[in-house]
Amino acid sequence: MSFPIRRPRGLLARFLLILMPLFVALAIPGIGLLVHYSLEVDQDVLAARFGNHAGRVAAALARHDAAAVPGLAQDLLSSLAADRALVCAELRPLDGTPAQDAPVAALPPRIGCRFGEQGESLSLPVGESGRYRLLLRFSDAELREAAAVERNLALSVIALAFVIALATSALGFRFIVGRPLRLLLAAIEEATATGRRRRIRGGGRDELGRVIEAFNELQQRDVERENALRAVNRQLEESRQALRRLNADLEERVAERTAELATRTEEAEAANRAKARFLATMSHELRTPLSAIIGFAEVLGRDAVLEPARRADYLEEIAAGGRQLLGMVNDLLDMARIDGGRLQLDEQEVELGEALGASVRQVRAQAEARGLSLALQPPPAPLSVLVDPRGLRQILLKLLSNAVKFTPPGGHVEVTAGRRADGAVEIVVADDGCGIAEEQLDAVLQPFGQGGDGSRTDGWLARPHEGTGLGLPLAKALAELHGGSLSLRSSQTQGTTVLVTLPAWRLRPLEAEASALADSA
Amino acid sequence: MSRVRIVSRPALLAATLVLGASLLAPLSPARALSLSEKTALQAAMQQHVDRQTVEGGYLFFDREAQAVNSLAPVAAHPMILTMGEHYILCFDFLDQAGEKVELDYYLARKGDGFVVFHEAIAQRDVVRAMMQAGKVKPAE
Repeated sequence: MSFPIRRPRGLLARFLLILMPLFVALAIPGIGLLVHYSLEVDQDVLAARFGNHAGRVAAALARHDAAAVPGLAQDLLSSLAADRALVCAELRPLDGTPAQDAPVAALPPRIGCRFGEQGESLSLPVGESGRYRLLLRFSDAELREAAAVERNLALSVIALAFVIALATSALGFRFIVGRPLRLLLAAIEEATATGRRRRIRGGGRDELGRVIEAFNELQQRDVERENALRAVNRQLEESRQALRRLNADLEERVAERTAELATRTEEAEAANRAKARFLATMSHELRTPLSAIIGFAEVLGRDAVLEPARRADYLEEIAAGGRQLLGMVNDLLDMARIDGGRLQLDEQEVELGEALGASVRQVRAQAEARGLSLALQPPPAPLSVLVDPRGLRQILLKLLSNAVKFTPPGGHVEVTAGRRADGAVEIVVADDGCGIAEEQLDAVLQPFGQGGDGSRTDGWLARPHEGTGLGLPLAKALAELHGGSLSLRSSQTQGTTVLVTLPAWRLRPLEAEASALADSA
Repeated sequence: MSRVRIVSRPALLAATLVLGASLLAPLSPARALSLSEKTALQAAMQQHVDRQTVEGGYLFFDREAQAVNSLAPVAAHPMILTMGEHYILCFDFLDQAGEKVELDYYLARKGDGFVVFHEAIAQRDVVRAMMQAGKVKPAE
C-alpha cells in the first residue's frame, strides 16, 4: 500500500524541508552529546566526592587506631552523613571472627548497610596494614535527577531553537528571497497583462538583485526597442502617406499629361486634317486660276486672228489669274513666316482713317458688284498709330473681303474705328451676312477654316465659297503680332462682327494729345 | 526550464551524518567505568595523597633543585583518563610560593581496588600529548 507524497510547491516550503531536517539531524545529536558529557562530568564529580570521603576516612584510620580511640570510627562515618547521596556506611575488621565481624562503626548508627543492596557501593581496605574494610553505599539519584533535568532542558532548548530557527528562516527567506521574487513576479504579470513595463526597485547585490537588475535592463531594452519600432512605424506611416500623396499627384499629373497628350494628339490630328485640307484646298485654289490662265493662253495661241477687244479681255483674265495666284502665294508665305516667327514688322506711323479709307475704296467696287452697301465711320479725330502699313492693310482687306464675300446681295457692310476708354484702338468690321455658327467660331480662326466642318478631309468640297481660308487666321496673326487681338461675334441670323484691337502704346502721343485737344474743343 | 540541483537530499543527509560522526569520534571514550570503579579510583588516589602527606604537606623531591618540597593539596580532578589498562587521575597542589603545581597519578587495578604506580609532577603536557596521540582517552 503506497501513500501519495505531496511535494511542496513553494520555495519556502522546499527550503524549510531541507533546513529543518538538517537542523534536527545536527541539533539533537549535538545537544544529546552535550547532555551526555554533562552527565559524565556529574558522575565523575560524584565519584571524586565519594573517593575523597573514602580517602579521608582511610587516611584518618591509617593515622589512628580505631580500636585504641573509642568512637573515632563512628565519628568519621558520621561526618559523611552530610552528603545527601550517601545511603549507608560500615567499617568492619577484616581478620576478626564472625562475632567480631560486626561493624566497628555504622551509618546510620547500629544499622549500617544491613538492609538492601540499593545504589552503588565502594569497598576498600583502610587502616594500618588494611585491618578494616570501609563500605560506602551511595545513591545515583542525583545523577538521574540531573539527567532528567538536563534532558528536559535540552528538549526545551531544541524545541525553542527549532521554533526560532523556523521563524527566522521563514522571515529571512520571505524578506531575502520571497520579496524580490514577488516584486519580479508582479512586474512580469503586469507586463504580460497590460504591456506596461516598470522598473523594479530594491534589488541588492546578491544573485536575486542581479536577476532583478538584469530584468530591469531587459525591460529597458524592450521599451527602447518598442519606442524605436513606434518611431519606425511613424516614419513608415508618414512615408506611406507621402507616397499616397505622391501617387495622387502622379495620377493627377498623368491625367493632366494624358489630357494634354490627348489635346496635342487632337491638335496634331487637327493639324494633319488641316494639312490635308490645305493641300486639297490649295490644289483647288491654285488649279482654278491656273486653268483660266492656261485656257486663255491656249486660246490666244490658237486663234491668231482674234479680235483685239477679246484678246485684251483674255489677257486681262490671264493677268487677274496671275494676281490671284500671287495673292494666294503671298498669304501662304506670310502665314508661314508668322508661324515660323520670321515675319518682321516694318512699323511706321499711319493715320488710321486714311488707311481705312484706302481699304474701303479697294473693295467698294466688289461690294457694289454684289449689290452691297459699304459704309465707313472713321475715327472722330485723326489717329496716328505705329503699325506695319502692309500688315494693317492686309488685316483690313481680309476682313472687308470676307464681309463682302459672305454677305448676300442687298446686305450691308460697315467699318468703324475709334479709341476705347482704356486708350486702345479699336477697328470693327460688321456685316449682316450669313454669319457663322457659334460652334464654328474657333474653327474659322484656324487656317483654311472658312466655317466648314474641320473634321472632314473633303472640307473644300463642302465649302460654299472659294478661297484658301487663310484670311481670318492671317488677320488674327497679324493683329496679335502687333500686340493686339482679333475676336469674332457672330450669329447665323444677325451677321458677323469682327473686332480688331491695337494696344494703347501703338497710338502716337502727339497725335493722341492732338486728338484729345480736338475732342475737348 | 530545467531545475539545477546542486546537492541531492539524501546526499545532504549522508554528509551531515558523516560530518557529525567525524566530529564526535575523537570524543568517544575508550572504556566504560562504573561509578563504583570511578569512586574506587578517586579513593585510591586520595589514600595515596594522604599517605604521603606529612603534617599537612605533600612531600616530594625536586630533582632539579635537589631539595624536598612540601605541597599543599587543593583539589582532585573529577576526570579520569584511561591509558590502555591503566588510569590517570590528576590533583592540584600549591607550592610554598602559592604557585599551582599539577600532579598526575597513574593507577593500575590490583585485586578489588586500585593502586598508584607512578606519579608525575608538573608533566601535564605529556598527558596532553598522549591525548592528542590517541593513547589517552577520557573514561566514560
